[in-house]
Amino acid sequence: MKSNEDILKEIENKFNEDVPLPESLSKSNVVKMLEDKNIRPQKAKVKVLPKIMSAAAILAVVLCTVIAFGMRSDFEVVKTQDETEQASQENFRPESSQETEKETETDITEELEAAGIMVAKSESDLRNHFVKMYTKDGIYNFFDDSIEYVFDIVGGVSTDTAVNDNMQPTVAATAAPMAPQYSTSELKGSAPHGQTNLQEEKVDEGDIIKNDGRYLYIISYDPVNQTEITVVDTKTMSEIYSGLILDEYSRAFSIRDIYFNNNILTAICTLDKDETFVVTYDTTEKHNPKEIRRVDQDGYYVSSRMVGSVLYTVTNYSVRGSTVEEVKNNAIPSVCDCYIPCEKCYIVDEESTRYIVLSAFDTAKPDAEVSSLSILGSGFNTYSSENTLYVYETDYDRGETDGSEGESYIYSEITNIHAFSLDGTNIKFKASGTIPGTCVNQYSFDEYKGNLRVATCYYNYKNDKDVSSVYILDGKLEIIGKVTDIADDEQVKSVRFMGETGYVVTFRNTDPLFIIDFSDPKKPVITGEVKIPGFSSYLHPIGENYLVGVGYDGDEQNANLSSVKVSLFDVSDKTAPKEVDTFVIKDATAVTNSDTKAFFYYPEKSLIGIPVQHQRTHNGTDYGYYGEIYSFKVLKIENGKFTSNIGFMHNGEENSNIRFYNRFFRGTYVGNMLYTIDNYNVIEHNIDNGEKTRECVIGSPESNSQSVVTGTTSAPYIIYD
Amino acid sequence: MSSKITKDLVNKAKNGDAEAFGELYEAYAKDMFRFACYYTGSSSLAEDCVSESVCIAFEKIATLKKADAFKSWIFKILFNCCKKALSEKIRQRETVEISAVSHLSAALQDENEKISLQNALEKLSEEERDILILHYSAGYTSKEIGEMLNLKDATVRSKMMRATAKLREMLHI
Repeated sequence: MKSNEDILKEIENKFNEDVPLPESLSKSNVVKMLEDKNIRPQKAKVKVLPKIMSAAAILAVVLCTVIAFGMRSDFEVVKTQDETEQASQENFRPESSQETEKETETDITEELEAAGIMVAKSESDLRNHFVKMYTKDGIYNFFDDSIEYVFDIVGGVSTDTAVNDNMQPTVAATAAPMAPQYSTSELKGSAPHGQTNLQEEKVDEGDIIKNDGRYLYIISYDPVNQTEITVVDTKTMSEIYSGLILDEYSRAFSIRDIYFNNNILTAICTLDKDETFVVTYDTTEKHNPKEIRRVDQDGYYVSSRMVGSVLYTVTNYSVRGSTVEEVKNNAIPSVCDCYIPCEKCYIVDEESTRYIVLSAFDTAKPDAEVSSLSILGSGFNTYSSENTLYVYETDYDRGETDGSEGESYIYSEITNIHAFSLDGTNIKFKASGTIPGTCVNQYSFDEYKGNLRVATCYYNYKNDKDVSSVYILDGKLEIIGKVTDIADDEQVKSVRFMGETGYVVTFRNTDPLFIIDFSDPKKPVITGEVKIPGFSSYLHPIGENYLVGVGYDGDEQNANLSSVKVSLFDVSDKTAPKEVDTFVIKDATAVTNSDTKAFFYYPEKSLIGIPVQHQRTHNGTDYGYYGEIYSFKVLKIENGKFTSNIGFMHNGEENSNIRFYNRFFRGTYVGNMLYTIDNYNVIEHNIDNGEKTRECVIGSPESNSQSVVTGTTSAPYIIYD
Repeated sequence: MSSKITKDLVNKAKNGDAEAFGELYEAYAKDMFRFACYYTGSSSLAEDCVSESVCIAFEKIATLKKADAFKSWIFKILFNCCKKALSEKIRQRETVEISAVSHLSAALQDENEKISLQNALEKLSEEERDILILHYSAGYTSKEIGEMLNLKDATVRSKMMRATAKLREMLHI
């Protein structure tokens, strides 16, 4: 019997057996080729740069900085800048930002000063700040790439491709808002059509699919799994365009989100994870979209929103480097190849080696200015109302008891929130605040009449219990009201706020749905609750009186994580909510558990739809671990009941349809037609009778069919884990 | 290659020294070619991909932030070139010429085995193949692979385990 190590070694050896190198690839030939082709290294990307210092000068600065700053802070609350400094900076600051911002800047500075928020004094101060951190013992690790690991854990960054491997209920998702009704004017008289499931009616969110009433815009995958944009015409059911987005060296961008607004298609892409690009297209000719503009922004893509035609992009920039010079060069993030001016770098967390970078520009105007700002601090998730964007992160407070006031403050987890005001492309940093506990997702947040409401949950070590609460924060992110201990020792699973009412689902053994009245923001009160088995990971209001919950089934004791349960709650009586109907799908997981945007709502027909992934043993057939089987469940809601349900099979009926890994699964509608979409197919069904009408292959048919053949004709392999 | 020498060579290359770049390249040339062979399944495509990536790498060397990361950086470029080449190939509806790799297969074929590594890899899904080749041939960690393929590293690890198990069975190890 061979040991595991031996086996791995043997496989590794197989991969590393000697392969003769062709003569053309020998070192001398390659060098000759470079010379023949006259290839020379390009200079590094030219950003608007301060003058480059010599190594000796840098060393001198480092020493000076360390000595001069000693114990005190690197930054000061700035009212006016040193004149000479300002003069020298104007040499390298982009023109655009010089005059327009001056006036507003002073107002904000005063406000922030009151709140103790500092602004970088000068660009060189900011650079030296990082150099100082770098040279200090122990800080070195912050510059290591391992920082991304922390990111992944805390993250919860909603990437459309994220695979929810081990159906854990911890990542719960709430979803759909009131049906968004943004401009369909250009398609006059067109049939109703699906839109991205938005949290706030007027705030568009990036998605993997956009639907304009006739054309579907999809982020699909090419034969080697690079993302590309595909346009499908639903009239003819054909793919009319598909194309990668390439950089100048033919490297394909990874497309993360798309927006569609008045014929402008906006794609948010990343390259090597730490650069973000926004590319806009004019799609007047659907089969030939024309690129209008490319805007680059340093940092890892966090999220984005679109209000009207103005796009707001949030990235997280880590200062990296393994030498003083590298740290110095990488110390300031840039947008559009311009460093963010120092008076727009707010110092929220002096110890942070990361920035939150926010940019805004009007996608409808090809030459419009891009405004940007950054704060030294971090955040990995966002919630946005029409006027304020909130970036938040989970942090850990090792704070001990503060028993002085009788109330104990032992919470391990805290949430840091940063608020930015949005007014067209005029963006400002507003405030930062901290509350106890962690949030489930963006639906844990809601802004109402200028106050922010946040539902959180934390573990209290003192009495070994989970504590769920809702906090109300004012415009300065200070707590003005709260409800704590909503449920005894239960975790928050999903949240939805509607006007003065909040709905919170918590879970331990059964699922209580709580209704909280926020009519007095300083004194919120729990008005009613209902307990049911299982729990909802996502809540969707249907009109004033009903609420749909989608999540997991369960009995009195436990949640059954392998069944989908859809509940219909009657919430017309805020003191006595009732579960009026349920629908259970066995051996399946709802895609909405991990992706809130996958929830489907067709208000004109009172239909809700849930994309469902079935477990591999479906109808008694064991599919091994090849392929995933998807179906789309559509339920009609009438008079407080689910009156009909139709399952639309997407794949898996015949062996030939089983694909290898699916990247996503969604449904959308145009008129009477339902379109179920994964990265291989768009399938059209009649939404009223469930009949499959037409099919369109997208992405990479050849490569897929090839895989399918090899996959399904050979005997299934045994699963070892 | 020690990190000091690498740093020195990278600096020289950044200043336009093709010879220094050639030395850096030589250290990984075989690995790169083998990787491209596995990935594209064709030695002629692999040859093109390696030379293309070398050109891009030399041209873009100023973007290399850490000299120590040269290997993973150049493999990333190679990975992209291979992807592009394979994608074009598949789009042209040409079957990948297995015959072109015959010498490779022959080199890898063990007397006792009916199936070569190359054949076994072709039986896996693209994603599994990507993961295995990136891991075993280019030496990437699950985290790095996750970044490249847009997957969580835990997902990469579990997929890698399964794919390794399949490969093991096919190769009768």
